[in-house]
Amino acid sequence: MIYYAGPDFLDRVIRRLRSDGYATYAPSEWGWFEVEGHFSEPPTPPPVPPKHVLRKTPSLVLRVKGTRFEYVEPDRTPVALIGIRPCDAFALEILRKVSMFSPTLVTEKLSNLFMVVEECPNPSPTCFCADAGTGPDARVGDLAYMRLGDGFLVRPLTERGKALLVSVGIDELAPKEALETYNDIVNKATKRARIEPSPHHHADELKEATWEDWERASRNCAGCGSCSISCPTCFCFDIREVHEGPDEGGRVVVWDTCLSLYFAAMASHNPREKIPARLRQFVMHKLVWWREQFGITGCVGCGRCTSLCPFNVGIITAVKEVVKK
Amino acid sequence: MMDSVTHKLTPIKAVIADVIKEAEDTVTLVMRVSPQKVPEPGQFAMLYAPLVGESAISFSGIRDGVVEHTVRRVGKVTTVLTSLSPGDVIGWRGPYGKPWPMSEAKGRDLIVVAGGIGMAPLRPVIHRRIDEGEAERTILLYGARSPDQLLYRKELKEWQEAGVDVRLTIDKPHPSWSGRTGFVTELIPEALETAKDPVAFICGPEIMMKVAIGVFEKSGIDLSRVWVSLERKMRCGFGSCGYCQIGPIFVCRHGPTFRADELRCVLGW
Repeated sequence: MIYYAGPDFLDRVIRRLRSDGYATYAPSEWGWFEVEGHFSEPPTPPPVPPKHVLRKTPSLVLRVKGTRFEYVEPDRTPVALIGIRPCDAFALEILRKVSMFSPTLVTEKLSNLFMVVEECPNPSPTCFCADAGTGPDARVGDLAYMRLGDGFLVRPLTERGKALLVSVGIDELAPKEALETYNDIVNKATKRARIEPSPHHHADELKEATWEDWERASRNCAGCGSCSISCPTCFCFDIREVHEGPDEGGRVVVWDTCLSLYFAAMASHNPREKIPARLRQFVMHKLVWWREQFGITGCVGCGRCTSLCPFNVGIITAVKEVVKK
Repeated sequence: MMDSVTHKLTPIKAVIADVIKEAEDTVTLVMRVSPQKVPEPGQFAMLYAPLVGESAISFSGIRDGVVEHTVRRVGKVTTVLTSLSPGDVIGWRGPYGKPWPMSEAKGRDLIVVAGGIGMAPLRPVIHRRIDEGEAERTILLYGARSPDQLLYRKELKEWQEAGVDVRLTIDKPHPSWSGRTGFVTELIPEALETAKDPVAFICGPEIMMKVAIGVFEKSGIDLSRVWVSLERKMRCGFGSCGYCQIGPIFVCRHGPTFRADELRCVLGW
């Protein structure tokens, strides 16, 4: 069922969710902001993935006073992500699967998360959600919408989503022409949201890639880690100390990146000392090992690892270099 | 509800009961802790030097109400840990990881190959073998860089007296050493002449373990009976932080003890 909603759709939904106790956040070009009503269309995709809203880091996990260790209760305020893109919504479903193996920094937030997904009529040149099977129309979430003129076409995806629509009085079915327009937009967007060679269709070549292939793929990589910090599924974190006095302070968790030199370094040796090894770790984990670990891909096709890379590397370029030989 | 990361990262208190100096840079910390699960040989704990940091350290001894960790000074955290005194309190959480498969070795000959600090996680294996009356079916091959780097020197004699076949080597000749010299992996072929249809547990520097696996393979030992314990940098110890991943493996959860044939595929050895 697709419903038609007027220009005040976001106002109504957001007000309702807030009165139900949700903290409501929407993405923008500059990050995620708490919103109380209508907001303009976010970028495709927004530069900051939702994991950074669900867990802002550094985040305190332990208070230390001398040799007293105090547990810090994680923030469990229910969050509603409004305008989250389909790829990012799917990424949180992936993190839900990862949480079944071991908790992630966002696990406690996922249990009462509400997602109102903004579908993508205009994928970016680096989007490949159609290859990844995560978009450009919403695959997961509670409610999906697409902006159409002044109004919105709205699809409930869960019972919770449907109940929300009913509670804000949206019950007008979209007219047939609107449905045709919607299908047309989704079809066109799906054609655009593909990349050749598709990162998702070359697992065998990636598995067989040589050191020289990874050297070629990483020749422009600075090892800055922008790819994994902006990746919506990367879950790695570091734990660091904070000091508030001579014997007082605590421990914080911080989102981390396997691209950094120190990430795997031990006193005895560093198994991934060279940049090709670190880029390989990132790409192989997302596209190959993730499936073996969690039964699902680790790459949703948002393209951020390439679009936000200062040197245009990321998964798209790396896979292209590896498979071109 | 699933445990949160925060919950799992909270340490309990461990009181240092005794500190035994093993070498110039190495001590064994005897500590009183009350973990929810009894640790097994091969497992590890996260030792927290308050406001300095945490390190993954394997158990080098497990007794009632007391656990032992042998720590070598190599960085910031281990500098604090190696300078502790009895009565000091640190943070502790664990046990984590997959133990040595003691049941695989039960009733069979066991070759224990240890290099340097790699002796620490194997010490509870020797204790267990002695306790279970299998000392005489146990061969310990133990190598260190120099005589003063050999750990548990007093105990080595006791193990020998209990029936364990202890064979020591140091890397290079040394004035105070009249025993064998050379790498510990060179002792494997001889041990294989004595042992019948053995199981092997190996721990030491990565290159030593790689070589050791090769020697066992060359000698016709099925690598599904050879086990190694791997070191990786760890932050959480329970599969959340992602630090210790190798391919699809989380060393903290799937290891640190691995079957040699399986580990070989992952590391490409």
